[in-house]
Amino acid sequence: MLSFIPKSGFDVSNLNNSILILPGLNNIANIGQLTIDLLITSLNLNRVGYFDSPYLLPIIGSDPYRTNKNSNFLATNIEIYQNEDKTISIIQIRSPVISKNGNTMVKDLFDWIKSIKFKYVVLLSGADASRGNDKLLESNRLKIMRTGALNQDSDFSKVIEQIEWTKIELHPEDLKENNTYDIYTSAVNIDNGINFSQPETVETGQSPLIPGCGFAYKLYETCNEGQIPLLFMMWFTVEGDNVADAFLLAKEVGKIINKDDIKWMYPESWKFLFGGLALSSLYTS
Amino acid sequence: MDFFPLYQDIVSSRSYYEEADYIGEDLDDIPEEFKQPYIVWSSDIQNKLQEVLDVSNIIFGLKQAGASYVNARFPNKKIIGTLILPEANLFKNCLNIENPFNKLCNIYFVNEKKPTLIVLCNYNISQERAYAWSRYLLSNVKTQKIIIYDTLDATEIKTDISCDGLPHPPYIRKLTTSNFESNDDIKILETPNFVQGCSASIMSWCEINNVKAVLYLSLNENIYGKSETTVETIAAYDKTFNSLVKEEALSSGSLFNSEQLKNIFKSNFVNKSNTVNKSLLYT
Repeated sequence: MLSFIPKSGFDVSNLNNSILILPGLNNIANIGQLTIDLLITSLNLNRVGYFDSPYLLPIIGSDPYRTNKNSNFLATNIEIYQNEDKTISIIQIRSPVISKNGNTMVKDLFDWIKSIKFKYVVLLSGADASRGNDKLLESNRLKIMRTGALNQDSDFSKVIEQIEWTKIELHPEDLKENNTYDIYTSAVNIDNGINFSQPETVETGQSPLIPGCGFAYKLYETCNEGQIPLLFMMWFTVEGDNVADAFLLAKEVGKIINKDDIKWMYPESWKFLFGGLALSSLYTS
Repeated sequence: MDFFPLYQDIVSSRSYYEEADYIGEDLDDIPEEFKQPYIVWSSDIQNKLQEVLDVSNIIFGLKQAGASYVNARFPNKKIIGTLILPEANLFKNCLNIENPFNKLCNIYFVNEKKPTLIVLCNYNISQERAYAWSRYLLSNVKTQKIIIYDTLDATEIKTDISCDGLPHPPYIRKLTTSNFESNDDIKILETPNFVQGCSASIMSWCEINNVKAVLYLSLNENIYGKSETTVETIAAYDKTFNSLVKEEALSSGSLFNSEQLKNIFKSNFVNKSNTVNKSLLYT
């Protein structure tokens, strides 16, 4: 049910062999979406198409990136952007998916990604740091996971080793060991003096729960089974002013897409992120 | 929840904690066929639907404010159908189909300069259902242009209030599709404000399908933490009068005077039981 509508004059084959970057659905602090906003503005990408989905809440607004001050640009809830040299394509998803249709939306996204021959896919998501154990909190806030298809890409593996991301890589087997209880809250319970005993692990076949990732892990799993080369980047954070988180994650994305020297620019839509200035009349004497 | 500063219809994007309940399967207890909107057409146009539904303009009046303005602006329209949404609460409706207090979505036809459909929607449509409602309606019609009248809540506006203070009605903004040629001096809704719900769904469809469309948003007043329509909210819509004439949706008429605006407000927003804040209703 997810339809892709390219802008008039755009050749869909231009998406082939580009790197696709997209945010996770319903992730904590909307880290994926904030990072994508930064990337679109700073890399000066142009909108090349729209998607139409019944599973995302509808929203519209004027130009969030102010690329052209006089434009009649109408932003919709899910769009795709591309740079001039057609090496980077970015999907921005501006509204939440209706939770009960999340799995269907994941499947639709996977089907569309499979229909295009992307070089590889980068999935950006937040994860809930408040439910992490001490080891997690003391380590790098970025964690990555690769699908089997991307693991087999030796050139990509060399890049990962060069930037020392093997140290922050999670493997599905590590998560599956603890799939019957919340590995994140176990540390909290012990700290609170509650007697905690690890239950016997029972193989249920269910996906492990990564709190705060929304449907991002589900998309990772689906792409893994469907042989799509995908890099899942999780940024552990908490709710609040996440502009700095988005900036740091965007810098990490820059390492992967070979763009280390980006001049970062904040999008116009980040104005009044936490409300405007106070009424000046409040302070007159 | 309906008290300051908490409002109804908040859809949280932070539904990540709900994922544990839904990660297994997509849950939906009501069969799809019982949730679909449907249109009941009047008997005299049943046989000529294709002819009637190929129009130059469609004008939507959404929520009571938009519907009341469009209703008053086009007095000679003819009712041709009604769009039913299964979950819409109709139990307080009366038999007079044109009663402005009825929660209905009526479809009218008018031929002023060019054939125009008018859709006046008074019932609440949740954000989750906005797509189904709008797509069903738009799949039944053919048009070159769409004009929508909707409202903005004063509490949702994001603007620099440090110098000018909070905005108050009459305050109107618009959003247009990329292909729409503007012919008025109404300002575009400034970034980072955005619109949700049915008008967003209709405008998205227009943008994607290259249909020219404009959405006019008039500001509701914030009265004791509630978003309420006032006479000024309706008066702001009248700034679009010249555009309606230029778009050939209207062939004649004039701007409403203050007495007419008060009458429009009284007939749509004041009933016998509605006597609170009387002084604020007649500014």
